[in-house]
Amino acid sequence: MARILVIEDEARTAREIVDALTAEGYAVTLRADGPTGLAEARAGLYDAITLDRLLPGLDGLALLAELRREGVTTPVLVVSALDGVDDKVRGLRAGGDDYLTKPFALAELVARVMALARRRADKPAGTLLQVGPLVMDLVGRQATRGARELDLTPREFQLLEYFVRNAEQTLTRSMLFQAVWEYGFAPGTNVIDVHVGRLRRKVDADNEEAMIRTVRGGGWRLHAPD
Amino acid sequence: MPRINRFRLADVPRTTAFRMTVLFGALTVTVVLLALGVVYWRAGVFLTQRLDETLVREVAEFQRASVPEQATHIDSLVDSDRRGHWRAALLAPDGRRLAGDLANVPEELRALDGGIHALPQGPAPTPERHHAARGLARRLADGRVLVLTVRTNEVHEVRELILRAMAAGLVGGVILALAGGLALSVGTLRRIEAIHRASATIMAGDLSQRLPVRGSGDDFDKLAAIVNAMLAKIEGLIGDMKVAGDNIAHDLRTPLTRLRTRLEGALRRGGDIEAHRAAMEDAIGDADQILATFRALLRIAEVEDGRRRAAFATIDPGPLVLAAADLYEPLATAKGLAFTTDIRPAAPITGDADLLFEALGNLLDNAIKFTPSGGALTLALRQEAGLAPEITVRDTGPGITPDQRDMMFRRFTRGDHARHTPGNGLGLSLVAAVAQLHGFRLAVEDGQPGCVMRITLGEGQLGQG
Repeated sequence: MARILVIEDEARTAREIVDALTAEGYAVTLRADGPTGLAEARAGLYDAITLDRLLPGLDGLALLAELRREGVTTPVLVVSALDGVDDKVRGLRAGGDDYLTKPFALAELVARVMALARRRADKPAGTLLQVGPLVMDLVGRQATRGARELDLTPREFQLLEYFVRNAEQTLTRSMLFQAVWEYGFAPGTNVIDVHVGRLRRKVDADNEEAMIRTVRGGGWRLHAPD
Repeated sequence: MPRINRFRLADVPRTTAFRMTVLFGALTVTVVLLALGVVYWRAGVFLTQRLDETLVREVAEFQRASVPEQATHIDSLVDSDRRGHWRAALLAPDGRRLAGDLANVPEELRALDGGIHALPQGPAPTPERHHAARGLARRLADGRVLVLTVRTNEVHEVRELILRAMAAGLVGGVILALAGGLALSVGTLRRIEAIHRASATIMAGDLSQRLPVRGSGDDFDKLAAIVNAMLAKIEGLIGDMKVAGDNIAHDLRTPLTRLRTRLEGALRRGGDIEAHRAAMEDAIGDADQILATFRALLRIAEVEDGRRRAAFATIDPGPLVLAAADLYEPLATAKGLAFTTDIRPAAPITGDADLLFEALGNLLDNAIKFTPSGGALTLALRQEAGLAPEITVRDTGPGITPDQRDMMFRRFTRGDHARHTPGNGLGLSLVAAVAQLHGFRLAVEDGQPGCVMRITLGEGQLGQG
């Protein structure tokens, strides 16, 4: 069972985060301030940490810097009510960590924590990716489902690759947008939905079992047919 | 807020005008004193020289006279001088007085060297009479002694005159400086008091108040004009903020009311768990809309702050426009719009790629939202020779009337046709803010039909075309 450390001082938010992650089957530990959070992160073996930006006793980013200085590489999702610090956010994402602005949808937080925890668990390398009948050849830029070759635009190929690399995980609109388009903002409308819809029509033919599934609460999941 | 002091005389010495006047007064007095001092000194020297010359001339006249005439000459010199300026003596070799009114040779002239000496106490000082004089004494060839003195009171009188003039000038100068300083300071203090009063009204919240301007174009007027211009700008901004605040209140109150009613209704109706779940999902949708509005507001504030200029980099506009086309084309197609692009090579620009992409996204999003199904949408990037690159978004929607153009970049302004279209009305405000941050020109034009949004990626001011 994957272990998650939640460092959050606001009791109600903390409880909701813990509940949501527990419901996903994680073992969750909660710490409510900077110093004890740092001690726990340092001592425990966690797969991912959610870290509030403003904590009593120690600033979240300072805590993260201290962890990294000590060689602790656990991926961290920084949660913050502060916006407008894009450079820092970019730095965090480049360092393998993630950043989420309050207020957030719990589904978004859970999806991002899962992605971080999973990224640590296994990082598929190589040029051939496979999920069930879906095979992607990253060198030949070809994707097939079973015997059927998928006719994808370069952008759709990128989108599918991200789905395949994060198979069985919920991916939210903003995760997809940031991963595939790489621009730093949240597109407000259903523009991503249309892209996923197109990809889905190509991946899931009428007579096939749906692989790209809509997740209640905002997002999609690539699922290998049973 | 500083306490407003009424005009008080005790404040006068502290005013700059007063201090300046006193300083200049002191300088003027010093200069006058110096000049008069020089006159005083030179006049003394000059008059003394004149007396000395007279002494020398008298000696010469004495010597030109024959010996018997010499005694008469001396006597007549002394006698004719009723004011007693001249005192003289002609003494025999044995000291006997042959002529004149001096009994013996004054102390200072005992050397009998024929040179002119000052006699500070006069030739024959008594406690009552001791007028300063100059004189000479010499032994003549035949052994007689000639003593000649002349009073120097003329020199002293002239000097005294000059001293009086100096004193009068000093007193007059000081009085004038003080009076001038007072007059100027009172004027200054009055103006400051007026400004202070106006400021107090402004600080109390009346932003329409302006600092008083006399119209004389003096320093105070210039300063007041500057502050007034600043106040006008602030008043405008506060006004904008108030309008924005009212709009925020309106735009948030509507969904918040909807949220509340929905929750209340669900609670009242009861029903099964599915009904509750549906109500909660709707409530989350409402909350998301409220949060999106907040996010958009904060985003605009962030962009308007201008700090993001620090992160500007060189961007090739081609790939950026292409990426935006790529992102929005499916949305347009899904709505039944013909989406065409005309993207040509353009010179690199300096800016924030994220913000420009977001702004372009907002323009496309708007165009897609407001163009009815079956319409067309064109995204173009062009650069004419010698001009800045231009991005245009052309649609066949309802267009924007000229009076709407002015309003549309303000926060929360939405065209009438937009009342029933989802959105928070902040999209174009963000586009305007991004353009302003970059110094790009944003123009809205009549597309006949529809609307053309044009961003000129170069020097320019925000305008409505």
